[in-house]
Amino acid sequence: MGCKKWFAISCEIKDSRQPSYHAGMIRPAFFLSVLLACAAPCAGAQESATTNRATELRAEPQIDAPVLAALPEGKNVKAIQRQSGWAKIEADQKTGWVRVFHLRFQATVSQTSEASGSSLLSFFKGKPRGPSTQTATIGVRGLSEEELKSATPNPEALKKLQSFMADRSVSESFAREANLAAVRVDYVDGESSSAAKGSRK
Amino acid sequence: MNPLKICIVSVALLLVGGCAGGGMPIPGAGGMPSLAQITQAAKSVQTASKDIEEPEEIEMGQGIAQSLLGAAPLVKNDRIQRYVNQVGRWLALQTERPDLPWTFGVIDNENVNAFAAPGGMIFITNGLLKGLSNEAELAGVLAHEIAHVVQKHQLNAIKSGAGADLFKQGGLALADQKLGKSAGGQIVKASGLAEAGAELIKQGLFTKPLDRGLEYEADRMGVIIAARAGYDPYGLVTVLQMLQNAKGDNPMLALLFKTHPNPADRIEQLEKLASTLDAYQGGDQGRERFAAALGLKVEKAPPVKDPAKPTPKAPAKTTPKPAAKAGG
Repeated sequence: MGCKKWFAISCEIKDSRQPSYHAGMIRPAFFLSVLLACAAPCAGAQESATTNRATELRAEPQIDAPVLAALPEGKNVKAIQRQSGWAKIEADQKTGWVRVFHLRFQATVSQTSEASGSSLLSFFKGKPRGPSTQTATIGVRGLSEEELKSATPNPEALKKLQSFMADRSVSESFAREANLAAVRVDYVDGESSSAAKGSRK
Repeated sequence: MNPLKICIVSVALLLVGGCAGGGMPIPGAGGMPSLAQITQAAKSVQTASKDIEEPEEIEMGQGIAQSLLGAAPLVKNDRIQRYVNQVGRWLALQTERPDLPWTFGVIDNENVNAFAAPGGMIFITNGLLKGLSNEAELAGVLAHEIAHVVQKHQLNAIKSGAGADLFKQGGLALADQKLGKSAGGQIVKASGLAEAGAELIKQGLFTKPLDRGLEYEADRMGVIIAARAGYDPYGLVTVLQMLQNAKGDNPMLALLFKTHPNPADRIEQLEKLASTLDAYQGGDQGRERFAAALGLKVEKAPPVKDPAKPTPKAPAKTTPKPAAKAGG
């Protein structure tokens, strides 16, 4: 993939704010790949996608908006922006909106890497991120099956984590400040019945 | 079912079956356990593990959490940890198990993944967190994991072993410990829990897939839980599309892809809920809060309403009481 989304982001965050906690934990192979990924240009705010069915390009992100063009299945488009269930795309010099469910974002393999020059990051984050120039302190460790299976318990870490817990009132005041209002929505497909049995309060 | 199979099943499932000690019986060789033996063994295991009450579930989850934290430490950033706990607990309050000791941890690992353990222990890796761009996406991920806990998916896998042999031994280790069967009968509770948790992880709790149907269910419930909490329910869809795009040979995604259905399939399943998703789209994205909590440079939110206005925020179904949920 062009810019190795996950890696590229990790560069940015590590560099700017968490410089120390990976120190000394570098795995050469991953380290190298991160270096390469960060060095690769994250060009372009657009993402390639393909229509997964015949669909319509609409003037606005609304199901009843005027249709600008009919798009056949398999049409390659450039996705520019996302808004909930809609993606703003460009196709045949026309710009409009398509249902996100009607787009297939390509599974990319790293062999083409720089050539595509695109990153989902740019699409979903609204703008491209530049390559990082400070990669020296980055370490990347994967959480492999082996690591999981050889884990030894760390009770102190659990205690530490529990100190961060948010109780009901803390989370409710968080929501108030964020203007998050609870909405009543029922589950779909009957999960509700199985969820309801048991410890529902 | 032939006798050999029965015996294997009873050994695996029960470890107390009559065929465990005296060598494996061969069909027709006379060593076959009697129906009474099997029934007795089944009863034993029921006592041991059928009724895992909530306190035990919570302890089990904490034991598992200790071991997971042994494999991957917490991100050393109190602000991020608190933030994820606030978002997570707000989501959990919208579910049928609002009063579990919900605990959310960001683990310091570049792998892209998230985990749920019984009793309300939820983990997200730094690698996944950093790939997200707003709080609605975080909510989608956490709500998926919360749904696993609400539905006791992992707990059921552990205790029933249905379709997942590897969960069984770990579950039995815990059951044994509960019964005081472990070495000396008087084990230190905390270390026993941790050992059982470690054993469960060794047996594949986080490395063997759950049934695909359970993942789809967690997705379906996850988008609803996010909507209940006031978020744009498309957050999870966005994350899945990122994963769809990222799929390939990225080693940081290997475990996630091994343990979950293909992102494309998950998206396809969620599309069945499109009308519900649309009804609540335009909910909060929390882009600025997310960026602030992660210490990201706050990007100007893209011209979100460009050029059109979205469907107005959730219809008039709003209730002031977060805990009150219909249909549950």
